[in-house]
Amino acid sequence: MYKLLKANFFRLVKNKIFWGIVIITILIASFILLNTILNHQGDTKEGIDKILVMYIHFIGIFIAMFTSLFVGTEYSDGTLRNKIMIGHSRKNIYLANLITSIVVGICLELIYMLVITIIGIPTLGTLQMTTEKFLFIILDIIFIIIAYASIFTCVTLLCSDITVSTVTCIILVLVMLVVSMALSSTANATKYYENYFENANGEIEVYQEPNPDYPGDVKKNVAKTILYCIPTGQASQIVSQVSKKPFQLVDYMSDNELKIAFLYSLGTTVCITGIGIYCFKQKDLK
Amino acid sequence: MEYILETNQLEKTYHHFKAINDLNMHIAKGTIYGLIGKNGAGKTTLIRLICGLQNPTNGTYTIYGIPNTDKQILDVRKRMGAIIETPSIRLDATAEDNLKEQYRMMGLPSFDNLQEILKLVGLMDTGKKKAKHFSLGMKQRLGIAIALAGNPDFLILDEPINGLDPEGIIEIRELILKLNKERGITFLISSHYLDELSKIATDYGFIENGHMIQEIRKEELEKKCKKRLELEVSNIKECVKYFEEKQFPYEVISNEKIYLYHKMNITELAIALSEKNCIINKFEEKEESLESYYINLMGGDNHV
Repeated sequence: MYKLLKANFFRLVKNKIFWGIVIITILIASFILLNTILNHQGDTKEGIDKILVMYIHFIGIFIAMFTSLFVGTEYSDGTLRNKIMIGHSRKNIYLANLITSIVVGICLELIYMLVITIIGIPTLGTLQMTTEKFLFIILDIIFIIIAYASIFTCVTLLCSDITVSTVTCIILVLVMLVVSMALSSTANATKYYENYFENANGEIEVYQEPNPDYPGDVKKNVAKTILYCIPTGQASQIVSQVSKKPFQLVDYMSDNELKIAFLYSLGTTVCITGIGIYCFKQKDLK
Repeated sequence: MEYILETNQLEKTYHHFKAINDLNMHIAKGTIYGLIGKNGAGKTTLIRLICGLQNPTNGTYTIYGIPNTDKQILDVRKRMGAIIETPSIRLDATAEDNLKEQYRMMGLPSFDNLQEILKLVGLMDTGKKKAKHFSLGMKQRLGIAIALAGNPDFLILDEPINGLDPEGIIEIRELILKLNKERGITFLISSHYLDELSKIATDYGFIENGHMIQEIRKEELEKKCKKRLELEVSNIKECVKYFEEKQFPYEVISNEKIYLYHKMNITELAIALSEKNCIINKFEEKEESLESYYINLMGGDNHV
């Protein structure tokens, strides 16, 4: 597999799609920074927490584009056949492409974070969250990237047509986004919501009332599990968690859930990759 | 005889369609094996199976004696190269970069003989020109160069001269002959161009409906295709006796039929045989090309 990875990374250095996505990433980071700086009001520095994790919203589409085009070219140029004909096992070919996609995803995330950190810290201030929380968020983001890469590698290697696989991967990101949005209201619903009333003394009192739209514990947990297993879903939960304002009554990812969220992505990756390798081994190549 | 490739009752089924059916094939070391069959006969499917791109539904094949079910088959594949239908090359890379990538994938320690291979296939002077700007012949030669990267001793070429101009065809033909003679590389070549194939092949395999109809060596085929007199005689024993006496080359086909591979006047032959109490009932002068041999073998109503 080392040989395949070496060949992939040499190819990556000269790959226009990769460099194109790197440039777009830098532009996105610059735009988000500029927008935050311009909208920043008051003297207190709000820190870079929110914008540092924001790229996870975009990365899915970039990994989809890169994987489908980079790996898909192997089909269109026929070089995938070369790898098999010279004795590389299909499992190794699959894993080498998966690792390449993961590395590219992590590189893109690092580039984004680097731009935000270098320019953001002097202008917006340092991280407000604890180092422990930040490290867990990084861990979760890495595993979201791995899950994305596993999904798109699977689609691309099981679909021999580069156009079909590229379109499928991009549509898949959009479908995952829609599913995440649909699930999030169920997954984030609270059992109670706060209500206010004015007592006889004219004071405002807060009391909790049962939420009539609460889906029930089982339904909520199922929705939450699915949401965490879908990379777009977990990504939106992480961003919402970081952006969460005090006293906000939405049941976003808790700090404890944040610590184990990567396990959901790991589960998705293992399942998708297992199925992908099995199907790729059976696939009749032309 | 040492076989590089042997297939044993190989079968490949797509849903209910048998693309390869009970196919047995033998490719001896050092030969140029021409695989002949019409469109859809199963040539490319067979090559895909041998190259590991598809798995057989039934039956087995061995490469250098290693069966396809053995894990060692992956190591054995390093000793072979192949071009299936179109050459597998990166169109946005130069000839040199394409070769370098193949070297890396094979884990070759250095690019030492890279220039030698490019020279061998006549792509030394392509410089920074990308493969997408190459002519079809150049792409085909680059495909062969890539297949040669690991110094293989077995090359599989599927329709290597398809779409090439006459000059390109000659170049590929000479390259194949050179590699076979100088490097001892065994070739399996499938082609529609029977005349072209007859110029290089040393062995032939005729495939029809996924089944091997016949395997034949070049000498044997030449003998069968040689100009001959096909005779139907009343007394085969006397006829044989006469040909033996005269030391004429012949071949007995049946109790009545005999082929004579010697040019002679038919009247003289008829007189000579009648003196031996042997009458010629029917005669026909024949000379076959590979094409006509193939058409006859396939029953006369099929074409390549």
